Amino acid sequence: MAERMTTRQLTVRFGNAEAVRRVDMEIPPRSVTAIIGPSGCGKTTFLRALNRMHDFTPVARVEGSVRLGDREIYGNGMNPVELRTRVGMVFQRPNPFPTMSIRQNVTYAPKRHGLARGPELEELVERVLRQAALWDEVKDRLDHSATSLSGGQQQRLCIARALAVEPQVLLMDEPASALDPTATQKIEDLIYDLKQEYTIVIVTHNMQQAGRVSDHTAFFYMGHLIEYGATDDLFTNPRNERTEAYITGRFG
Amino acid sequence: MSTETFVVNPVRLRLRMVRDHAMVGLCVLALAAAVVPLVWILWDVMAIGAANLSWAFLTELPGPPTVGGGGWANAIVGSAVVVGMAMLMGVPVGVGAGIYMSEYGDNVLGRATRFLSEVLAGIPSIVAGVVAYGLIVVTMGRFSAMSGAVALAILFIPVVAITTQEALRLIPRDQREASFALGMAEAPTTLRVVLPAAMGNVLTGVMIATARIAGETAPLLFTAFNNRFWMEGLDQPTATIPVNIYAYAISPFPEWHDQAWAGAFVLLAIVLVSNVIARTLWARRARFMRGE
Repeated sequence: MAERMTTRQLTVRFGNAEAVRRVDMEIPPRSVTAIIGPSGCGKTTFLRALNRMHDFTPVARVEGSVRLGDREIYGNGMNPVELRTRVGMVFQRPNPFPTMSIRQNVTYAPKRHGLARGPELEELVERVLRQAALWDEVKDRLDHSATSLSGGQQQRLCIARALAVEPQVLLMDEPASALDPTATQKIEDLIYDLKQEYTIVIVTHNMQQAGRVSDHTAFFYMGHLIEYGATDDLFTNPRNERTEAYITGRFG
Repeated sequence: MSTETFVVNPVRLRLRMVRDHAMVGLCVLALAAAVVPLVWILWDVMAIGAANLSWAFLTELPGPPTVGGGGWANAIVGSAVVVGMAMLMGVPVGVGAGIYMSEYGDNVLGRATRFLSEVLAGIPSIVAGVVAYGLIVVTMGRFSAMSGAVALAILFIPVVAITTQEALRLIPRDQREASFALGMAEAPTTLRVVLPAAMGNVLTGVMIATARIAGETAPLLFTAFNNRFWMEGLDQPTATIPVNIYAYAISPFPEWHDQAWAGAFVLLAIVLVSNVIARTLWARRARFMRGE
């Protein structure tokens, strides 16, 4: 189910500005890969290149290669709409659909992809809400508005919604940065559970969080991938001086 | 940096307070200038109109002049049919154009549509009547309810298109991205996520445009024309409330003047009541969206 993602010489430009520069990176399946770095270092831009979200930004140009398993996602063989069912995304601010109920937020995409119907759809709702550790809190009010949930619950609903299309990779863009510490804790526990089945890439500006949840960490600076390795190694024994300066809090 | 307390000049402070109050006073005056005539008109129409309203006015055909009696039933139905048809044509086209301009209009066609919508929204309404006259009345060789509806639709569409576009643009980008990230294409994203979230403002635009065309007289004068009897078909001329108000108000008969007031009251009431109904229906949905 989980898939490996590989980038080769990945470059993203906005007009003349290079936001991501020639990044080679291999993201292993069934693990959590954290991307850290100071503001503006290209970490979110990199993440959004992995499910072609830059397609919607007219000035953005993506060069190089990104592969999901052995399929090139910028090649002709991959439809971006199909790609995004395989590579899901959770955003910085919880963004449930306000016109839909909790249940409808989950069923919206799988229903239209023809993944499930009738009783199967009900099972799917329960399964992904349990996976997102939200079921017990919402099982009695599935038809209530998604906006009636707290911020942390909304974010877990967004994770459940992403899981409902059965992705292979889950991209998370600072998923806990708009949440309080308790809600953050729940999201981190959740990430830990989900990595058994998915490839997870998480962008975070919180280094403690990267240390807690990830197996591998990539340090980005000025669009370059500066250092990439096992999280424990990178934090205790950084090889690059800029990595060391950043993780010890001397800049960023 | 000095640690002295910042000293406020008492005279200047006083002056600023006076200026502040004067500014608020001017705003209140401007508000009064806007609201007083409006309330006055509403009050007159309601008081005089309601006084001249009767069951016969709502249910009977017009009577002969000077005798009094009779009613505007044919004009009330005529207005409902003409405005209804204009909406039937105008809502899909106007909302569709608004969706295009907002979601797909970042190109020459989109910019042209936006420019033309703004121009069209500003044309004198009688011009819309002339267009419908030339296109339909001349071709068919007679006045008709249909040509009136087309004239009103020409006025209705650009207003709805512009308000729809603005309503959709207010929906944050992250809502669209959330849908795209689930592997949904643009069409379902627009129809299932963006449009429902913007529906309140789209509805407001439709209501405002409807209220505007319901009261239009000039474009109907030589399209729907008028009729002393029930309309015999969509391809036949029909009476409408605003054209009747015009015809009765300039007539020399006092009892027709009274009926023109009653007609104005009915027109106002229809617009108000349909607005209240639409708002009430919408309010439940809006509460749901706020999570209440």
